[in-house]
Amino acid sequence: MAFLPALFVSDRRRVVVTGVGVITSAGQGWRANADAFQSGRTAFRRITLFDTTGQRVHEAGELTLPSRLPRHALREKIASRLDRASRFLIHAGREAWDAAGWDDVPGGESIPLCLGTSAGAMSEGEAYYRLATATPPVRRGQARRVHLYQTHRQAAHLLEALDFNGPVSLVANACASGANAIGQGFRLLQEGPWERALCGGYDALSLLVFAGFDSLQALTTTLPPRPFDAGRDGLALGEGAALLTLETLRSARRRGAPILAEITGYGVSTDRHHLTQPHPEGDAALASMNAACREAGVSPLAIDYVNSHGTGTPLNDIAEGRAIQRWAGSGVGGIAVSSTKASIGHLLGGAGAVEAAICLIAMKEQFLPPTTTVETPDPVCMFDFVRSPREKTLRHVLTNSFGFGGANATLVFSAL
Amino acid sequence: MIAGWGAVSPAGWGAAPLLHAVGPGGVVPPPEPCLREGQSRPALLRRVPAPDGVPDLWREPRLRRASAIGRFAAHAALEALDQSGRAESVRRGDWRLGILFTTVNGCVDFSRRFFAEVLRDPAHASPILFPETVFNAPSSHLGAILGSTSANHTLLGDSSQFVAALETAARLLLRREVDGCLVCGAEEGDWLTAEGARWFDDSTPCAEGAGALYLERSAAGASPPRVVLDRLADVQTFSARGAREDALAAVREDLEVMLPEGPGRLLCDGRTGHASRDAAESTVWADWQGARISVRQVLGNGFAAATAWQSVIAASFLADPERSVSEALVSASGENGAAAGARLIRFP
Repeated sequence: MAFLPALFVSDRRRVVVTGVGVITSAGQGWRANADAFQSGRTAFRRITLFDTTGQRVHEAGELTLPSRLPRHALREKIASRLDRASRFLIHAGREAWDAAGWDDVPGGESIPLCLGTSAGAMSEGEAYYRLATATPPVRRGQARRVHLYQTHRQAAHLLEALDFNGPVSLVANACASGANAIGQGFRLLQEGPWERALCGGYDALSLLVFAGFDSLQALTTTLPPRPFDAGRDGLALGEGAALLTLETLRSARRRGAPILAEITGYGVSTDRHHLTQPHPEGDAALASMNAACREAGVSPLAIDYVNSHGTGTPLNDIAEGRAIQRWAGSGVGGIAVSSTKASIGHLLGGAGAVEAAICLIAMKEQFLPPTTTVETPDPVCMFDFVRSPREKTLRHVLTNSFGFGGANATLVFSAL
Repeated sequence: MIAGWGAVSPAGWGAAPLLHAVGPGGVVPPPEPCLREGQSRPALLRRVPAPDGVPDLWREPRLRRASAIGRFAAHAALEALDQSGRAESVRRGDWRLGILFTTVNGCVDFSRRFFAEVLRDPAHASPILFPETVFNAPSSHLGAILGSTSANHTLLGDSSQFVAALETAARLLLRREVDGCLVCGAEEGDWLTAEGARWFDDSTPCAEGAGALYLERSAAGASPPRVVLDRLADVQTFSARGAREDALAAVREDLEVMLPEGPGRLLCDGRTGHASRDAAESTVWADWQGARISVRQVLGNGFAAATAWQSVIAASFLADPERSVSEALVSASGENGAAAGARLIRFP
């Protein structure tokens, strides 16, 4: 491109999603996740990846990794050394790529890769530290761990595995990272010059992050998590990844590609209230929802489903509930809302992307994903809280992601 | 337009000490050994010197518990914004400020300390440390301190990411999502980073600090001389060692399109002085005839901060009427991910 696109602003291109790949504790791939989220099944278990002795909580949405990687172009030596999160990316990436039929990508076409993560390859960093501080210190393999720990190496693994190249953007906006990465890819395609982008988010469970949330007493001690329940006591962590193949409408139609939905709105805002707590009235959440709907050209009442950030922590759910009330106004009772974190936990940097994938699955299969774990809804739930499976045709869907540090992002998907 | 810049480096707090350090007769403190128990051959690190007294900025509630990277970033960002004269408008909410924060290593000091506590006894790991380990903690602090509620993104990558973020900033500005945009690169020193880096370059000390550029859409109305971000090369990703040189060559080709020959050209490159690390960049720019500054050779490898320093130096030289620089190129040669480049010019 070299500075700067001429078609800016006045001639924004329409952007659609032509493929989805997803892996969570609910399962690998579209079908397994569609079945889980349609029924509201929960998927938590005792953590096996690290020792949780001494912590308050011992369970999470730990997924079962398939023993083999899907088809890839990595050298076997590299493939054998991949960290856990890179494996998630390759599973999700391959599924999305194949679903979109991108094997027709001409050699040499530049495809941007936009990824969101919060922890990157933290487990590699943890291993490095343990071995460096062991008595005596261990040197063997440490250079490789430094190499793998760098987040952009995970992106490089995905490029190599799927055999494509293009500019890489790695967003680390905490829990909004995945949504921001999709939003960034959306903007790149709107403004050009690219025709396609691979976007999404990921995170793998790691001891440091798990212990961090435990130290903040942000984790539920009474699994499963109960977002928007009056008695909620915290979130559960999960892990996984989702990747979306984004494409200009023109490109998708030219190829005759399957179109899942159009991305019609993307809003961001920053909550300055506190590093770890949202503004109690949800000011920034409201701003990002309004911005996304404004761009999509839809009113709140036209939104058929809101996939909330809905962590299950007391402060988040109140703030988001208030924001939804203010956003929808007197029509709030007609807005269908749920939190799918009740089923798989909070995937941090992967959350926004996985929840976008869930929205796309719901739109395609025409259902509302329920939050089945709630016993007594919090009074803030003036919206239509989806607590049991329902069929519904979805025309416009909105998903919220609100991160640590005040990074807020909202995406709107619309049926074509 | 680049309407402001700021820096924190081992040379001191501000862009002025940085410029002095890379100038003739510039003196910088020697690197210090990063001592830790059990390490017989400590890695070297050039730290930012302690400021004279406690800066007012550090009394900001958000910075009281923040780690060094947050303080470096805040200082550099404020210096850049103050230079532009926009700080008050942002605080009043009259000016939508975007913030792009780039880093390679992030909040490594608090991360290491927190993880050490977890390994000792997770029940006693500090809930105060943990939030400061998150990659976007510094950019969150920047937003809170400067009063911005607009787009605020933390972007990871290798050292080239700072220049790649300039394109993101340009896009934010051109689509009028923000009125101004800060791009900041920062790193903090720690034995963990210094030892990790030494596996790949055992002669260049690590360095810490931050650099920031503040961008606006138009140079109209600004006081001359105005510094303009004239061109950004396409970011070139690479993985294998051989491809790095190709990536840098493509960046150079992009930057030099239509570039007239003549005096007044400055190259701010990423060379560290380590032959293997520098090989690709040395080859690609071997025939460069103009002036050249390699800030990493002077201060050490500050990763994202060092690429920001390159850019701050380029802007400062262009703005100084006593220096006859009319065009400055920033060659951002990442360690193992991407190459990027920017061309800055002086607009009379």
